Amino acid sequence: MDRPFVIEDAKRRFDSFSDGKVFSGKKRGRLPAMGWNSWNAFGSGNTEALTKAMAERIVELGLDKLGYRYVVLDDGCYRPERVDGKLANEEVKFPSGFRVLSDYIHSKGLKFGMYNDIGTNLCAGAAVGTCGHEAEDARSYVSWGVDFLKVDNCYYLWDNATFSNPENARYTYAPRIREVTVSGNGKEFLFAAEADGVLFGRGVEIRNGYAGNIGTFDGTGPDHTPVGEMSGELRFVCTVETEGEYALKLEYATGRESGVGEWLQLAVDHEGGTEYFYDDLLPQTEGTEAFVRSGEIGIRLRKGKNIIRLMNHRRQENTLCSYATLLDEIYKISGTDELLLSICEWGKTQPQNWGYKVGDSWRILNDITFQVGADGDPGHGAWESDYTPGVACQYNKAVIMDEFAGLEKGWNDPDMLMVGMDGLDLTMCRTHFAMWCMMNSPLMLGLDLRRVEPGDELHKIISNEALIALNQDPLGVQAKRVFSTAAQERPDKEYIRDNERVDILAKPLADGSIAVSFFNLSGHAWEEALSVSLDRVLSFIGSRLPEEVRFRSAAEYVLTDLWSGEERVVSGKEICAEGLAAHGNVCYRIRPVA
Amino acid sequence: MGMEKVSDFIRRLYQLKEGEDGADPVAQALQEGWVAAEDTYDAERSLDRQTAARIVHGYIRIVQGAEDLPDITAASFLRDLYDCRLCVNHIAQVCLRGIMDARKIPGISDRGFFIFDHRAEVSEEEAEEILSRL
Repeated sequence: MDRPFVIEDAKRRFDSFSDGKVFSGKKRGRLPAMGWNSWNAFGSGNTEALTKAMAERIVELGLDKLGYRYVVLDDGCYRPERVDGKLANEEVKFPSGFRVLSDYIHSKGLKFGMYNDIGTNLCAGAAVGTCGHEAEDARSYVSWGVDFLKVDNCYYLWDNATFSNPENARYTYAPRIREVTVSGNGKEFLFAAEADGVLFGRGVEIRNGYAGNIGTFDGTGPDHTPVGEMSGELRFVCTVETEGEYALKLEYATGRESGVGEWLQLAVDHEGGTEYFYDDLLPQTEGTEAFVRSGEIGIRLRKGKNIIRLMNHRRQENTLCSYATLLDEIYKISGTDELLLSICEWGKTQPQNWGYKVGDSWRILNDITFQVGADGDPGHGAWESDYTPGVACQYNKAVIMDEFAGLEKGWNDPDMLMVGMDGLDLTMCRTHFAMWCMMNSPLMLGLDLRRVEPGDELHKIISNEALIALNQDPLGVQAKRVFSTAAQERPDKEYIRDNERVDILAKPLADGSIAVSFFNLSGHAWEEALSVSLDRVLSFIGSRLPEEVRFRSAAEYVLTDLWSGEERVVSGKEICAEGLAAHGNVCYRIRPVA
Repeated sequence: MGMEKVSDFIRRLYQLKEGEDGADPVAQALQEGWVAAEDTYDAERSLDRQTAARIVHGYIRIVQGAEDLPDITAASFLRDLYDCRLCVNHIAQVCLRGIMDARKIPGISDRGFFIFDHRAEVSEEEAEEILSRL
């Protein structure tokens, strides 16, 4: 492939991201996936023998009965290059092949998951990415009986992703634009970016007389909020008396770095809809400040008001197209929409906007740990760090992303669980697990299950049925943050990264009850008693609660502590927690008494 | 001196371990688990620094039995540490142990800015230096 997809179908365009429609092959109505993934436990060192041992352990520990169904091979399982154009098993680690392993996993009553990438290579290096091989890879996955596919984003050709050429930024940002002229039908219009341009969305800016940073910003790191516009456009309003053909010229400068690229999308919005007139690279200029005049681009304007849109949404569109192409092939070959697609592009292209169309979940950030384990080494997890590793960083972003999740869409994925890794004490593990349950995150275990014994502390955490029931509640609503000691005005929307705080989350449940959790993000005990009124909780989530009136008008409530199982009846409307341990949590299920 | 090849680097590590050349050190290292299958593919390519870090990290873990340093936050002085998500731990472990050095950014490293320079090729001289620190 020498250039990105030609997008002929409007449903793959940015403008369709908010239409709520999904593509063929995407099944709606699924709850968050539960299972075990090899990466956090064994990294690239996973083997057939280890995978079988994990499947056996899932059954022995009774985890399958609790919903942990998927056993997923992550990176490191393929031969480093294709064999006769096809994917093949790495023969030292997976000597029996994937079909045999798949049959074994299925014989345990479990589901079989695998891994690949939309780039040319997998992240660990094997040159077997799906890019350009979607059809043959789909045949392989169907023939192996794969139920779940996690698809990464390394070596991607159309973005400056991990291991990709950094100059791929040329595809993801528009050139800098200083001026636009539109001529035709006896008229000529001159639009200067600084004087006439309308900056739409986010990120785009005027500097030194030109508009720059026209594209979608990178969400891999934790620096930016996931809420709101993720991209920007430069727009001009052009009102004409005569409908017809016009010629548009740009004064522009290109680059191949974040913020300035070579790919331009040009569309015109008018009363009749949107028409695209250019979606391609512009000729390269000598530098990012070396402005030149483009050739003529033909556009069509309607009588009256037209909005000329200069933009580049290709970062999102290309990535969507890559995932959609793979899903489409799998759907065509399998004839079903049963395969679960786990999008793992690390939040880079803001998949909260488009992921629901093809995927069941989408990662929201770079990895939760870079210190994965190996056989005999549990690996290392952290509570917090200066980048994405750690429970807190992933939580901080996911907790305000509830608007993007749901049964009709899919789930925000703050990465796989680190319960059981070194570096996290049991209190942290409990809170980590409770957070993921409240946020409807996929529950993918990432530890060597041979280290877990029935009834031990790790087992009690990962098998807490009351918490899993929140995650798997059929209403399928991610919890909303209704209070934070660090919030200014909107606890449900503010992106808060200072972990010196306690958050309170609330989640409506199908039986008309509500789950309320207190999470102490800080590294010290929170001595101050905290409370939240049920009226406040209902003001955030009441509209999604079945039988809200019944809940609101109840005189008493039964509070169940979801860790101890203790129940008590309260008659007031205040839900309290005090003495929260460092990194600790309290979780209640609150049921109205008739 | 020229640039180091992946196969030569593995062979030299194998020699360090065994005290002598093996018949097929790359295959042997793969069997022992301190190189990846990807290293057997095009093993005659030039060794880059991120691959060197991965192989050395595998070597010190599996051959030398070293446990990972649990806290790698000190490695975040490398401005490009997170550019390669799979390399982070490998780079952190070899840099924090002093096996591989950070590289300076001309003009600004006096202000504390350093990089690992993932894709830079490893010279035979640098490979010698890395091996001498094991």
